[in-house]
Amino acid sequence: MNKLSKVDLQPLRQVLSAWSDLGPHHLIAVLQKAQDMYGYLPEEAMELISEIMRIPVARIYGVVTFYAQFRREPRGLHVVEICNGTACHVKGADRIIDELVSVLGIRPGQTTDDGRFTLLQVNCVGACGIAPAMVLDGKVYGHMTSAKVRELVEPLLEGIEEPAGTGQRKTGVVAEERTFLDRCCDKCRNAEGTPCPEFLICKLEDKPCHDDEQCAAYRRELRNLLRFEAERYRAHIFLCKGLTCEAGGAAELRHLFEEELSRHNLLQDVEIVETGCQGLCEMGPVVQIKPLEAFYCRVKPEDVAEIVAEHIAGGKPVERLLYSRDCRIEADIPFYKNQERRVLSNMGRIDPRNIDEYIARNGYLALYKAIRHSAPEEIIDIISRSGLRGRGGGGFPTGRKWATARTEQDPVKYLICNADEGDPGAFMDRSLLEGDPHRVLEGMIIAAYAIGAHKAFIYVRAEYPLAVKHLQTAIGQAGRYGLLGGNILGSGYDLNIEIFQGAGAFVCGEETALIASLEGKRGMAGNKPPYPTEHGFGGHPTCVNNVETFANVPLILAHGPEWFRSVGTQSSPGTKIFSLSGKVRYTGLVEVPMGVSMADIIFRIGGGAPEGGEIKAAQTGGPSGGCIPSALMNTAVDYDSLKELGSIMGSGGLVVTDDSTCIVSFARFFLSFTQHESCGKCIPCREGTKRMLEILERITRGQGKLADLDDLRNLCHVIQRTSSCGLGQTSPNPVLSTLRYFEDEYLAHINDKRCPAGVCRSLLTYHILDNCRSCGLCAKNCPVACISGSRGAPYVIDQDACIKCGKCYEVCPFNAVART
Amino acid sequence: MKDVKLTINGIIVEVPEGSTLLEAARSIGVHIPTLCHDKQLTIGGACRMCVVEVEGPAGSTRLEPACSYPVREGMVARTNTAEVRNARRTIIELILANHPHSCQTCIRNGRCQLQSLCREYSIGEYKYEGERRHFKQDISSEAITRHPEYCILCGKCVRVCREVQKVYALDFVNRGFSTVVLPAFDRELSQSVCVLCGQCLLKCPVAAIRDKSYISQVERALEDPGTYCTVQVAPAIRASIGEMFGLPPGTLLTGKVPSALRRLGFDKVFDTDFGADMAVMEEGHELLERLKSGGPFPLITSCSPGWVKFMEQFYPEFIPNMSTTKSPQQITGILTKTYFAEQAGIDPSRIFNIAVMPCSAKKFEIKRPEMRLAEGLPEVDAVLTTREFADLLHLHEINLPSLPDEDFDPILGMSSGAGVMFGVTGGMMEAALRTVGAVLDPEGGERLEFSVLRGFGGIKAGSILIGKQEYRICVAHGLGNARQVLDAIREGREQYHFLEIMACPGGCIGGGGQPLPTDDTIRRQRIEAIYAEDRGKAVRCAHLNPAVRRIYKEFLGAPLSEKAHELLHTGYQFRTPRGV
Ligand SMILES: Cc1cc2nc3c(=O)[nH]c(=O)nc-3n(C[C@H](O)[C@H](O)[C@H](O)COP(=O)(O)O)c2cc1C
Ligand code: SF4
Ligand code: SF4
Ligand code: SF4
Ligand code: SF4
Ligand code: SF4
Ligand code: FES
Ligand code: FES
Ligand code: FES
Repeated sequence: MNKLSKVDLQPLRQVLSAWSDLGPHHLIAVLQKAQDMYGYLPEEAMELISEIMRIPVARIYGVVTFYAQFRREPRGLHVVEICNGTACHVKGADRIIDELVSVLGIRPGQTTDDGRFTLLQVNCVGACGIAPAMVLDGKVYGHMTSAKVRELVEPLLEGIEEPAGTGQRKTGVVAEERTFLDRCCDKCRNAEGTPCPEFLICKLEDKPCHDDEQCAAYRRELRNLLRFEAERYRAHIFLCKGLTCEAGGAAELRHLFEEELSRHNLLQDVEIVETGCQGLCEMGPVVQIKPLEAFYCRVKPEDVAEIVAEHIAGGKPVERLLYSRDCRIEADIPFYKNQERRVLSNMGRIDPRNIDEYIARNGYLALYKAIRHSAPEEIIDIISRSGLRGRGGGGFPTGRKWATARTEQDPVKYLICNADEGDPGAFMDRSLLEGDPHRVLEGMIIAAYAIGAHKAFIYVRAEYPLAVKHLQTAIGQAGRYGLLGGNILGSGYDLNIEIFQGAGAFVCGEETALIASLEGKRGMAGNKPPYPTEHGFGGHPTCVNNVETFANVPLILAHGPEWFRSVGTQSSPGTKIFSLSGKVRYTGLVEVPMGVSMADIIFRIGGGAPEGGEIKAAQTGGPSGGCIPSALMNTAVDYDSLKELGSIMGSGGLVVTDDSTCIVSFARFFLSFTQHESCGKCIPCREGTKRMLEILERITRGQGKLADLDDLRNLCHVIQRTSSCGLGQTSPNPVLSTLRYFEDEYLAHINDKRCPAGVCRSLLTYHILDNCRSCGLCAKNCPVACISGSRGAPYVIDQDACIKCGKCYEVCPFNAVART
Repeated sequence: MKDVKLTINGIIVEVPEGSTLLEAARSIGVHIPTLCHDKQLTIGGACRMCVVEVEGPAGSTRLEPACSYPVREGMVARTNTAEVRNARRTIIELILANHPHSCQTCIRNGRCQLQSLCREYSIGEYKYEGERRHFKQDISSEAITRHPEYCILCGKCVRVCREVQKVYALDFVNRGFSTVVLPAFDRELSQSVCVLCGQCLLKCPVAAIRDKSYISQVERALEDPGTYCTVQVAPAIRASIGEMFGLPPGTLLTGKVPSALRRLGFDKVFDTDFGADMAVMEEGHELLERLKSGGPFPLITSCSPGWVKFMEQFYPEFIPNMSTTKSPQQITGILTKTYFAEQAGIDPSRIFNIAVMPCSAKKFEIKRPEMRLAEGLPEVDAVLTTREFADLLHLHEINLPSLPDEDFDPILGMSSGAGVMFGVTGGMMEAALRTVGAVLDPEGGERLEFSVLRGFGGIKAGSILIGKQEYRICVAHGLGNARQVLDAIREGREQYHFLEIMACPGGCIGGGGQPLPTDDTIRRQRIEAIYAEDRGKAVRCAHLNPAVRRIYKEFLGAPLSEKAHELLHTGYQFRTPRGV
């Protein structure tokens, strides 16, 4: 849309007049809607919103300029979002950005003059497993290379091809229509719209209101069907529809499988289950087939016919697609074998859009028992005894948080699920919400009951549209099954859950900023105390917990606190999910007992560095965490040990770096992230991180002084101690930890003007060696044409003109270009 | 409320539960520096200057902001450890790294909180050099200018505008290092809902919000032999100007002001109090008319230009309720250029008419197109705030406190106690009721002081009995309070006959043009001075002021006469941008 053309406000007026509640806390949702309608936020639209919602324009403008999602300019026809999150950065996102800049002729944040392209830089799209990632018109592409950029973008540039797919996933059909709301016979009290409050124990534990052999058989069959154990299916195909596999081409597989199956006349005998992330994203698209078990990796469309013919029809697994000769099924694969998948137990095993498949695995049974047979205090006591600590980063004891919220006198209380997951390089929460949303909902309902809240919010990051969709589906289903809404499972307890989509601000993961955002304000962190449990959303006691924290709750109630404590350490019991990415062979979603060593995760599960590399360090906790050097990889991974090493557990992002990563520029990368994401409220964070970043930039340019290190340390100390919220307080961690473990690398930059990893451009020089065979390839590829030579003699680089792009180094087939 | 016992710097302190560490420290004379804290506003917690060391479990310590940190029983805090000092020093250095290095040429030189902190913490160098923010200054409005490059983002302007004035003209824009305080859509202040009350300027610790200065214009006029310079002085000035010369707040310098102005070279020195007396006559008779004809009620006062602009943008449906009487400034102004010019035989176009005002919005008022003579001359040519007036005196080597006392020039300099009451909240109404009471109930004796109207409450409402009739009256100061009252009226929850609204907390004595600092304690002291001035006057009712009687006799006829209407009354208009 042309910005100069007059904006037609009528449609927006209509939408607003139909909006049921226009209280100020809906501002962000209203702005999102308006942006959807116009492609950006025209001033006229903001003025109309101000008038109708009675919110001052200055405040609306403040909100709009705070969040990255809101645009005040129309966007191009095609939108290219290039990820520069940690995982992508480590895997060379810089080079992809450079390539896009040169192909499109614009910088990130700009739109081409002809209005065809907008280029945006984003922090993690949750596809870290296939980093570097790029999103073109909503569709995610992984393992990006310069060549792939050209391949994707150039046709669009010339207008040859119309926009690629919108990234919309096909909603699959659920093969079996049987549900837990079906009636076994006329005596069953299940009725449309009014499920029997006892249906869970009736169907799952065989405790029906009436006994009848026929009904018992019916229940068994129902369970078998939904547990994929029914004999009438010849096979079940578990198709990973996680983001990474989708990006790798899984989208078309279902359709192909159906075609092939019907060709073999097997369509009725095989059930296809579209699952969430199965974990081993690196090897995606992943397809597992049971009961003739097989774990197929990197399945391409052309493989489908073979799988159906050989395996399903013929009963013989397709050897070449198996993980390996020795690892034919999930349980054989080291990646899985060394995990303890508890919270992830349903992942990859059910269709997240199907509540019955969740229930069939005893889902919501914990809720039934809690809400019908336990007082809130008893539940809090169980959680306290389990020792569960918040999985959102801080590790605060969950039971204690709930107890505080419970004892507050205010009759109005809120529960919030923090699904903001802003740490670039982390995708655990996203995977859980996409792959097993009911587990999170169940945990939330139990928590809300325990603290006495009747309204809960899920604050989901803007970049997670699929998670939102699955949550919406799940909430709708839970309502129909009597698990949400009024009088839940006949207990007399009411709860409503509302989804709130964030608008792109890392700091909104911090609970007070999150609450401000939920209230329709700029996501600036507040002052603590008072804590949200005393004074949160709308001034009422509010309990904020992380997605994974909630996902643990039903398990603890079902199996008991002792079971929970049976793994993990004394002070950090249970398991933790990590998203493993960066320079490691098997990237993916990993769940291990707390206290295993970093080495176990990286080597035994992740398979160590990819060919040729050597692992240098691991970053936990993202931009708030620290770098742990390979020498210390044997330390246990739990809240306290990591803290001692100068890092933090964080939410579970684990990015591995190898010797090709320059530690100083790695620290600079994190600082530029926090600096960009600082809410701007307090001076140490807003101004201090800027100065730290400038010092680090100077060092990477070879302009550092020894005294800079003292200044850095002082700034780190002051920012840590005086910043208002966790973002500022933890922002020095990457610098402090790298200074602690890799000071020599800083000194090399400062004293010797040398970048040991060969990354910092200003410190590099390129030379052509004597073994040059004068093929001229380097000269052809040099973007500034500074290489000259002729047949017979080594080529020469004009050092003054060289921009140190490294192209010659990459293209020389004889390794005749040296980088020093 | 319960008391809490804690230890600060080894001293045991007892303060009420719910106090902050800052309050506790202040109660024992420990001065913790603050930049973003203000008692009148909600807590900011932004600058972190006030951090102090608090003991945690097992020998650990934390740095916590004293301004927001609540005290707890047994808490142990130290406000001035080496670490604390270093943290504060680093914070100052970080501010300076992103701040113009231009103290010598800065209007706040010598009255700047950042500068004082630099001295207190012995900042000896600009430690961090790097990128600085670049934003253009905004000199679009008639009254205040904004200079975001000087802004330290303490947020006090945003909070006072949002919380106290409820205008919400400003907010933070962008985030992180790009954060800046701006009106909506990066528009200029003059295109925003800002009512130019200047309360933000009073809060600003640095030179990021300034007066739009008229000093050089005034100097030029004074230098020009062909120009006849007249000046009027608002009631609130006499109670506050002393602060600019080191005297305690509330020192009355009524007699010194005219002598200072004469030394500056003004040809005539008039008193806005006189115009205020005239306003009482006109507005009082408007009230009498409405009481006779049955409305519309409430009659709302119109002497505060910030309030008038606010009404036109936010509550235009109250236009019919507004008194049409001009403000005392404009009345004195127009009578100077008409009545006085005629009497003295001076061509009004030769007159340069200046007003010394406690108010920023007065600079806007003189530019309103309605505020002109028939021939197009402005009624008032320039406004100086109290601060600018003091600057001018300093420049001209005039040490106000040591001057002899003199009188204002007759007759536009002759006033009653009613006029001076305009300087405080409730004063305009009290002044009007003195006269209205005398008309409605001539036998009732002199009614001078109305206790419901006195004091510092944000909204003062009540009933008064005049004769046998009861009247509902209400006074609100600060636009946030005004909103409350207007909403209540609009929704039918309250009914009044007469409503006084002043834009600034405390009335004009707390105006945006007043000396820095202006806080609630100082406001109260200035209010007491105004009350004292009124009590000291021989004549305390406008209708008894001989100058007023003379003007009506010689020039205007009677209150609300045709001529009075032509010169002393005005109208209002719906104004955009519309506020919400
Ligand atoms: C800058 C910042 C970002 C954060 N981001 C997240 C996040 O994305 N998800 C999350 O659950 N917690 C995040 N947190 C932690 C939350 O503030 C809060 O502690 C957490 O949601 C509490 O839940 P838990 O007790 O279950 O861990 C963040 C904290 C900070 C300071
Ligand atoms: S520490 Fe940073 S993010 Fe947190 S409140 Fe301060 S400025 Fe905002
Ligand atoms: S590094 Fe780049 S600019 Fe320099 S010679 Fe090689 S190709 Fe050319
Ligand atoms: S605002 Fe203060 S510190 Fe800044 S230049 Fe002016 S006087 Fe100096
Ligand atoms: S002058 Fe008054 S209305 Fe204008 S921004 Fe300042 S406080 Fe707000
Ligand atoms: S303009 Fe002044 S009061 Fe407003 S935020 Fe900036 S420094 Fe603070
Ligand atoms: S997708 Fe790029 S860092 Fe996660
Ligand atoms: S997305 Fe398929 S395995 Fe992770
Ligand atoms: S005065 Fe306490 S943080 Fe600014």
